Amino acid sequence: MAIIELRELEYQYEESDEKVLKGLTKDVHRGEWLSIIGANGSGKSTLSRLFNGLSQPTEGSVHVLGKNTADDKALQMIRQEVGMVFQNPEHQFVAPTVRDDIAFGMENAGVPREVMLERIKEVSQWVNIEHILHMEPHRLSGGQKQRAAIAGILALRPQVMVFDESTSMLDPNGRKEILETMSRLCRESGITIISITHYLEEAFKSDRIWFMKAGRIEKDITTKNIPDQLEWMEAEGMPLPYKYQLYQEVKKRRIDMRTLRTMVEGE
Amino acid sequence: MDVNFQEVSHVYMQKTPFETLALKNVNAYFRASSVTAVIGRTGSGKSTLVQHINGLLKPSAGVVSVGEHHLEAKTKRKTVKAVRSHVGMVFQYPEHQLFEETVEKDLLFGPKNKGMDVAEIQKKLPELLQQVGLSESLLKRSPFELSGGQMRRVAIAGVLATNPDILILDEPTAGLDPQGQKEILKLFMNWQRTYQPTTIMITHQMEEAAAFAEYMYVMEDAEIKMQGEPETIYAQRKKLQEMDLDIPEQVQVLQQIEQDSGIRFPHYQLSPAEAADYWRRAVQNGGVPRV
Repeated sequence: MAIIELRELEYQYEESDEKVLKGLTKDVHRGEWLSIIGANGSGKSTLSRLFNGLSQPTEGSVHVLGKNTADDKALQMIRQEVGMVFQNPEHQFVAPTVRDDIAFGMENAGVPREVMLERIKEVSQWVNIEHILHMEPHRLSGGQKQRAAIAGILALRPQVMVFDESTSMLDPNGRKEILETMSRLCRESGITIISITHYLEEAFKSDRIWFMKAGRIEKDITTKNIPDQLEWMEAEGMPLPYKYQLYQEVKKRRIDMRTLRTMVEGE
Repeated sequence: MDVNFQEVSHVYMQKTPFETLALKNVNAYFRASSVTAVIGRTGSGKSTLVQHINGLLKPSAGVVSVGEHHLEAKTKRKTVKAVRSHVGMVFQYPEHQLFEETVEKDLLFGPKNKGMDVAEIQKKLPELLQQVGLSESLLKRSPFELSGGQMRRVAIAGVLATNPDILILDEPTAGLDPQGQKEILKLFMNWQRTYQPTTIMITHQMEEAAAFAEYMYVMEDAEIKMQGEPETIYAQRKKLQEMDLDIPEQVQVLQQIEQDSGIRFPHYQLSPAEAADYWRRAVQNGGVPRV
């Protein structure tokens, strides 16, 4: 079932004469983990801003839970249902401590105080930041900062979370933390995850991938079908992780390597 | 030019309640014209280490030798200045340090600062730009009109313009997309081949270290915990994981295949095609049980 519907979506920046997004018609399904991958300038970041009405389409429409993001009356509901985690963890904090920061979003949304305390406890346990609630956000590691930002959004009980290159400024350990968090949000809490990324190996962990190129969704594949798409990805010049490159080489030689087959195709 | 650390310690904010030991008794040697990677998680001390090489920090104890110069706690500014003229440092997000009106002025700032012959270097700028993958036509443009990737290249070229004997790279590819990371790394590899500086690269990406460095130091809690050639480091996966590091994906895959099949690869830098060929030969020679 669709939770977000894109219809004939087009986007053009005012100062530019070329469209960044060209006629996208697609659904995001409830409960899935969708990755959107593409080079710089492919339109993926522009698209991410349309999911919760941060930008409005030039043509066509975006519906979230059946409501048009162009409808001002629905916008507040949409922003609450679709949470955004951005690239730079430094830029997401407004309050002096992590706890205050989580509270800030709820205060804005008019959540009663008793409920707020309850939720802070719940979400901080969930992303494992209870021990740093009293700290100043800028003193945290990159991964901790992103988890604190996630907690602030989770407290508003969204149905969808959009991660806009949220791992790209983190070290490998921070990246792992955030990827695991995304996976748990989707698998355990049933939140629909949309992650925008440069990294194939991250996209491969999700359920479905949209490959964007020059403002269009060039391909829409489920990650079960990755082995069949490797040749195409190579031809497009995408840097495949080593095991997939080796898998291709082994296949070309018509030999078998069980270890590799298990790694790539699953059990 | 060699760089040698002997029993070097560094204490931040000494004799205050905030006193922190940032380097603990470090011994390290960077051979002239070699490429070394310094790896470790955020806060492990790797930036503190390299900041001693150009005198941004002085040792609290021990000696850092850079060529014929020795840097110690009480070293005079004159010596620090002499050392600094040999060292080029590419900081993290170097593009944040661009400030001149034109790319050309920015590129000449470093050489001018080091008292080099600016007119001579100006003549070489078109070649330099080409070496970092930029067009000569950018020279008269404002650096702030360029894309992020182009700005990074200009900033790097500004450091390379002085042709330093010692080149320090602090996470030079941070924040770039995978394609951009590859290109920047390749740029440094080509530079290394041509001018052969002593290169020291800080990174938390094992892949990057593996592609470029012939020797590695792994840091944790202000100390050097491991050192050696890449193969030696990869053999100690568990120890790496305890420090939130891991061996490169390529090595993981090849090691897993070795473990499952009993085959031994000659080394772990095999390209996918080479690894597949090696496997096929091993199977044909009966070296691998049919599975």
